This record gives sequence, C-alpha cells and structure tokens, in this order.
Amino acid sequence: MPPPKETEFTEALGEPVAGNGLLHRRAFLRGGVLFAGAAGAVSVAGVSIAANPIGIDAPPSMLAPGRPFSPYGSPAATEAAVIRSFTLNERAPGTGSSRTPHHLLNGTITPNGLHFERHHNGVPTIDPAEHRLYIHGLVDRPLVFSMDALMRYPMESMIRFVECAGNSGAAATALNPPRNTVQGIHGLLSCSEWTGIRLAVLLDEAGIQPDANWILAEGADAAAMSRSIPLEKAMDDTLLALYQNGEAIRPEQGYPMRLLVPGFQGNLNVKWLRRIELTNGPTHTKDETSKYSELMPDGTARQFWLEHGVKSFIARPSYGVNLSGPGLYEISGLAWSGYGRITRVEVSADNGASWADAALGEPIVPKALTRFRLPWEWSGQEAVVMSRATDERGNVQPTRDVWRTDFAPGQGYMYNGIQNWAVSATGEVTNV
Amino acid sequence: MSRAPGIIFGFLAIVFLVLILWSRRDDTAVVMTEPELTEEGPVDLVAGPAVADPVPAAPDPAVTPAPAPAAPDAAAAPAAVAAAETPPPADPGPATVVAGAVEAPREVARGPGLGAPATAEEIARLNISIPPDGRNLPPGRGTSAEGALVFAQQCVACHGSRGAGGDGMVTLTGGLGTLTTERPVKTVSSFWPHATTLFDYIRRAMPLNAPQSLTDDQVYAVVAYLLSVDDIIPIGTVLDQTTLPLVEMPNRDGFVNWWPEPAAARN
Repeated sequence: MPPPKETEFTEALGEPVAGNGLLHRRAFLRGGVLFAGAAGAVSVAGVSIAANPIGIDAPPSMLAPGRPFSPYGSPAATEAAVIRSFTLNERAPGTGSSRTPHHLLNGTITPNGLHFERHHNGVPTIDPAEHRLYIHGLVDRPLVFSMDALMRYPMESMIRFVECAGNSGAAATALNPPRNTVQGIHGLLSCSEWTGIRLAVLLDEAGIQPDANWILAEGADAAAMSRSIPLEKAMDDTLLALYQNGEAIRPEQGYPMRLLVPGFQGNLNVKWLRRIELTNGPTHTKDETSKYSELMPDGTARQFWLEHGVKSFIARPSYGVNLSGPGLYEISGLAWSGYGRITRVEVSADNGASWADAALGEPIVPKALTRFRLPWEWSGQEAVVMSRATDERGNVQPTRDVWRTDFAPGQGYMYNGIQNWAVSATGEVTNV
Repeated sequence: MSRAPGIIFGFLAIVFLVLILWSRRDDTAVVMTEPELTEEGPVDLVAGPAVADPVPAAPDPAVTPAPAPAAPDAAAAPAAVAAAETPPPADPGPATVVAGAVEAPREVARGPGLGAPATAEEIARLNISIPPDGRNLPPGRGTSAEGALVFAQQCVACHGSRGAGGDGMVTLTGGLGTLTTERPVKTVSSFWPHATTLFDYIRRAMPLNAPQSLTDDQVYAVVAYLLSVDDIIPIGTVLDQTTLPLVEMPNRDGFVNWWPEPAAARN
C-alpha cells in the first residue's frame, strides 16, 4: 500500500489544509473561520427565566442561595452518565476491568474516580499502619519500610499515562470493527499526576548486588499479583507512587502504594505493592508468560514486550458522539507513546487520502496523554476520520492491517493501530 | 571648637561602618556554616532533586519536585527531624559508591535511610515466588491421583471437567498443536513454558474464593493432575521440590524475549 499523500501545508487560515474540509490547526484562533458562523449556528433553547421585581431576566439559580459546603465534592447531578463502564463477571466479581469514558471527557488528566481499573481478584482493604514494603533478594541489606518511614523520603511528581496491555484489543481481534464507544474500545487508559519516591532511592539504600538485573514486584491483593521489571527501568524513572492527582492513591489504584512504571504496559504498575525482590533474570510469573505475551504467526510468543507503542484516537466525533448537522466542528482526541513525547498528530477526513497536522495541547509531556485538536468544516457528506500519531523516537502509528500482519490471529495485546470512524450523511458515527 | 562637629560626625561614621561590617560578618558566617550543618545528616539530600533524567531531551514541565508530606511527628521541619532522630545511613557499601562515581554519572538522591533491617526468617515467611529453576519450592509432594480429588473439590466449578473449560470458564488443558493455526488455543498444556509457574500461581492465588488455602501437598498434587491430563507427565509421577523443575513443558522454547527490544524491531 503506497503511503498516503501529504497535503501541502498552507498558512491561508480558513482554507482547507487537507481533503474533505479539514482546516488549519490555528483557524479557530486567528478568525479564519468566521464565515462559518451563520451556517453553523446552534439554536439556544430551554433556558428557564424567572421573574424578579427589578425586571431583569435571571435563571432561578440567581434568585435563591445555593447549597452550602461539602466535605468532598462530587460531579454535577447532570453528569451522572460520565462513569466507568464494566461487565460484571458473576463467577468472579473481582476479576476484570472498568473503563474510562474518554468520549465524555476533555483535557488530558483523568479524574481519580474515572481512572480505569484492572483487578485480578478484587480491591483489597489495607490498613496503611499495618502495611509494609519489603526489599530483598540480591541486595546487601534486606529492608522493610513502614508508611511513616516512606513519608519522610524525598518525593517528586510526574504526569504519566497508565494503559492496560489489553487496551483496544477488541479493535485488533474483532472480525468486524466493534460497534462500541471510545470507552468500550480504548477505555483501559488513563493519565494522572503521580507523586511518590523514586524507586532507585530505595533500591540504592538496600544495596544492589552486581548480579541483579531484574526485580519482581508483588501486590498484597488476593491474586498476589506479581510481575518482573527490568532493573534498568526500575532504576530509571520508576516511581513508588503514593499520591494520584494530589490525594492519596485510591484503593482501586493500589492504596496505600503502587508502582508507576512510565510507558510500560499497565500490568507492571503493581498495585498494593508489598514486596520487591531483586533477581538474576525474570521470575516468569503467570502474568508474564501465559498472559501479556503475544503470539506471532510462527507460533512463538513475544515475551517481555513492555513499552507501549505510539498511539492515538479521535474522541470527538466517535461512536455515539454524533454530529448534529453540517458545519464547523473541532475534531479532538488523545495521543501518547511509551517511548516519550508526541511530536506530531495528523488527521484525515477522507479515509486516509490526505492528512493535516493537528494542534497539540501544551505542555507536551513524555509518556503522558497529549490532546490534539483540528477544526473541521463538515459538508454533510459521508466521511471517514482518523488520526495518526508520531513520537520523538520517530515511531509512527501503524494501520490495523499492518499491525495485524506481525501477530497470530486473535491477538490483541499492545495493539496501537489507527482508529477509523465513519460519519454518515445524518451525522451518525460508527467504527470502520 | 569649630572642628568638633566634624570629629563627632567622623566618629559616628566610623562606629556606623563598624556596625554594618559586624552585621554583614554575621550574615556571612551564617551562610558559610550552613553546608557544614547539612553535612552532619542527609538534610540537604532530602530537599534536593531526586533523580535527574538521564536523557533530558528537553525540560519536562510535568516533573516537579514535590515537598514530602509532613508526617505528624515532623510537621514543622521534617528534614530537620529526620536528621535529628536518624543517624546517617550505614556505610552504603563500595558497590553503590563505585556505581555512582565511576560507572554512571546519574544523579541519585539519597533518602533519610529509614529502611529497617529485614531478617532472613521474615523474608522466608513472605517470599512465595518460584522461578523456573525451582528455587524456593517448599517441601511436600503430590501425585495426579491425589490432585484429581483436589481438583474435583476446589477447581472444577471454574475450569470444567479435566480443566477443559467451556461455558465461559478458563480453559487449562488441551489446545496442543494449535498455536500456528487460525484458532490458537493458549492453555497451560499448550502454551505455558514452565511448570514452576503453575505451582507458583496456584499456591498464591487459587482457588479464587480462598487464595492460599491449599496445603503445599495439595498444590503439588493438583499441578501433577493438570500436567497428567495431556500426558505432559505420566500418571503416578510424584512432584516435589526436585522433580517439578525437571518437567519439560511442550511450549518451553516458544517464547522470544523482547527486552531489551531487538534492534531490528525499531523503526
């Protein structure tokens, strides 16, 4: 398949920069799309106006005191649909996952209550006063840490995504593109500001012996979930995370402590961390042999494939996020890479025939979600929109067909193929 | 007489100058003694940056040092309290020093050194990991006949008869020879590379409704049963610390290590 034709970049704001109505990424900012005002007007109705003695129109909220303070805030009642989705496994209610509703969110930080969950046997209840973290194995001094001790260590904060290795797998494995939302397909992905202690500080304190080259991390949950992590990564940017978006990590995210292994598959970010063993070679646990390894066409499996490839999807429009008539829209979505920063996101509105550069939201943080946006003048005709991300290492997001040639049928771990959305003439959006 | 005001002014000016110098000398003295104070303990390291980005392609605006939350007993000055209560860390050992000074220029923060020694007995009681070489396998033994009974009581409800799955259950057996077909079936029999992993996982996490409730003998036995279903081991084989690591799984050579990522795979 020949590479898609690149459309010449144009500075003429308001003029199409790629096929089927894609406008320059700064068109909204520089007034280049003023012409669209009349055609794109959205009717305003349903505003309730109450009477008052001074004859000024005012909504009821201005005519009576609002409710008082609350100890812990919660979303507006009218946002009740913005929730995690999950399917209850009746045989094993604590196993499975819940998903972040990216099609209903904006920005890049995931609210703590909407961070995706993946549990292997439920969410444990842990008393931090009783919890201990052990570091042992190939170390000079096996150590045990209490929460009180850890709270006195130097901490730092970093914004990083966490993504399940199985995220988007349905898009890779389904015979037909799944009729499902961004949440249902790509919802095992979230992004937070994590605060904690560099794991290197604690490993150094224990004294790493020369023959150690992996660590084993184990959780205090009912699955005793355990994974091997390369020591090189553990000594680099791996964090013993205690806080998420400013508050103590929530129970479903590993309270009182978890690993944050930036850019690596989610399963390594072991929650409820209780034990780290320094080892020579990986331990070959269940979740790094039978699971989270990817079968290739020759029958062998790729093991310890740990870094998430460059990836993106358009969230608006997307399945269930339909268009309400021809006119001006902002295409918006998320891009990320386990290898570092996003350097480019291209968008196509003509099924990949031509592409235009989207605006990238600042700051662009390595191994974090990056928001991209691009104005689009939708003509009302059928269209297929898609996004293609590039990272600072030069990785370019592959198409689904290209990705699938590397693996055996039915494989979907670490899938990062391009997501296509078809827009019908009535504005209904489906997955193609 | 006419020179008196000048003399007085001059005297006052000298006194003023001396006072200024005196006060500045005090300031200077404080500044100069600060590093000496901090060298008595890890105070400066607590406040400093943790670990420098080894490859800082560009400043990372999202990474900011965060002050350590104050523990209740150290609310006013946690660093100072740490220094006062805690002796400097024990000799970090030549390995750490050499690695930091010679091999890697990486800047490593040091914590306050509050890890308590963990005894070998303590570690032995909580270390349940079994690597492929079988190190750390516990005493005990089991056979497939004994394991069939355990399986019938503890496992069959979620894994089906003989571990064959079905009806949404997790399949453990069968699937041999399918990995190169259009419908690969990954089971313990067809896919798992190490029998030790089966022992490790059952012992730590099964059965799902009562993890770590099986005895070591029961775990050896149920492993023996599962491995006998597809004739990976003969009926009657006794599995124990010695024999389990010797089991050759059919797919033991079926995995390609992707860490570090092969250069050919990079684009």
